[in-house]
Amino acid sequence: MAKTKGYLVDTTKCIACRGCVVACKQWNQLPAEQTRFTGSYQTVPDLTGNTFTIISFHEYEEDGRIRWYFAKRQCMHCLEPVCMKVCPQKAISITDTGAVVRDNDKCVGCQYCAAACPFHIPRYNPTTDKETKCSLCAERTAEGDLPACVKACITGALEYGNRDELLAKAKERVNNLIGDYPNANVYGETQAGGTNILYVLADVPGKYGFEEDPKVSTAITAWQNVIKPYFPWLIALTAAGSIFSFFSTRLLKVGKEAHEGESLHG
Amino acid sequence: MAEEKRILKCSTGARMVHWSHTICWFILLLTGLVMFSGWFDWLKPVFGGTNGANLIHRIFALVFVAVPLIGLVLKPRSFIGWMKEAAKWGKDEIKFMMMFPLDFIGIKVHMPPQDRINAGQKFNSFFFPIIGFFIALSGFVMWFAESFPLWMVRLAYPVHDICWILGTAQLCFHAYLGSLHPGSGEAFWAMFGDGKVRASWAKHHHTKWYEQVCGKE
Repeated sequence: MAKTKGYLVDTTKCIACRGCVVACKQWNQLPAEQTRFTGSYQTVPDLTGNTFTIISFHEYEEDGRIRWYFAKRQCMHCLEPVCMKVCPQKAISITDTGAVVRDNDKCVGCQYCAAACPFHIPRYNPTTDKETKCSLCAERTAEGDLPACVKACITGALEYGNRDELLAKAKERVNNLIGDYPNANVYGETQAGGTNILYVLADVPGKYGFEEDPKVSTAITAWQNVIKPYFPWLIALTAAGSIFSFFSTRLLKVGKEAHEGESLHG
Repeated sequence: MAEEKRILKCSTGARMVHWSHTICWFILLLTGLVMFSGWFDWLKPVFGGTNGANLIHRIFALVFVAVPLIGLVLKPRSFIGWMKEAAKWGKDEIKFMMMFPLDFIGIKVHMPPQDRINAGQKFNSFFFPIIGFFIALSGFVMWFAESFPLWMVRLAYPVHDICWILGTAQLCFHAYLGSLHPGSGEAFWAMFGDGKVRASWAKHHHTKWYEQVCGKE
């Protein structure tokens, strides 16, 4: 695969200021949504049709002290996006730099992508009747600019660049962290076949609300690779069989003899 | 020659359920194909775009489910009677099914005597309701996806597709056998006409039933 670009989320540098969330809203001109206080510092509870990125807060008591884990959540921009595969309207595509983008005009809001996504990212917007998600600011990066969230990040927790370089950087960072954080790891290198968004996590993915090993569901792959391309031929087969029978029965004249001279069409 | 005696094969209720389901199936098939593949983009304008197709699909999905339920509520006895009839399998049924491929291509065979519905029709009496049940169930999960666990939603898509494909494939046989296959004409008008068939035809094709209705000669 050609060189792809993405960004690295170094969760150990994130202070959860949510500048990225606001920048994303602003650049994509998404309306604010009213939320309720539920006892967590996390202001936006989940991604929505109008919220393409959030910071999720995870609080744990460890060794008598509180630890906070922050994770930016948005589309992971998979190297082999299953959302693109299931889309019946071919509304999802990969750009030259590897960003997984949607064509809003082609999208019909069927939500197949939402069910297929191993990271559970695409969200339905009932107002526009479209499925939505982060585009990695493909229109900005095409002009040489940074994605809005990366540009807004004040601590350097977000870094945009070539995936292989970022991966090397992430591994180096994990090596440095491993003394203090024995469970430190890189997330996104292999998960779901690899993603363009990479994470440096200080602890196991589960603590950030990530699945350890997200995989594309077998039901989805069987559906797309076997059922959709091959099963419809069954219909052609039975139709052809019926046409064959129509002619063969008449050629063999079974009707006249076996049915004792009665008419064929009642 | 005097008018030949005709006997009732398909009741009004059965014909109405069959008719409405036929219409539903084709509308659901065409509106569904718009969603299934880009091959059917040319169908979109007929239904008012994808959104129109979506809406029509859901409306007729409700009709598709409602029709047999209404039949069951209004005529529970005849519904159960049909199911009992279809569940009755014996030597004659198995022999019929085994010899059927020969009859299908036109080789002369002597079929064992059949009930009001023959073994193939008995098979369909279970096949289509089961297919319909799973289509409705998976469709319901897809429609209200947010209310179901993710694995169920993911499973619903392949199930929905397998069922409509199997159903439509069988429908090709069913439609042909019920109309243009030699000797089927009478059965076709029994379903799409007044429900009656000529007694002589019934005697030949559904001997056991004929003897029940008209008595042995």
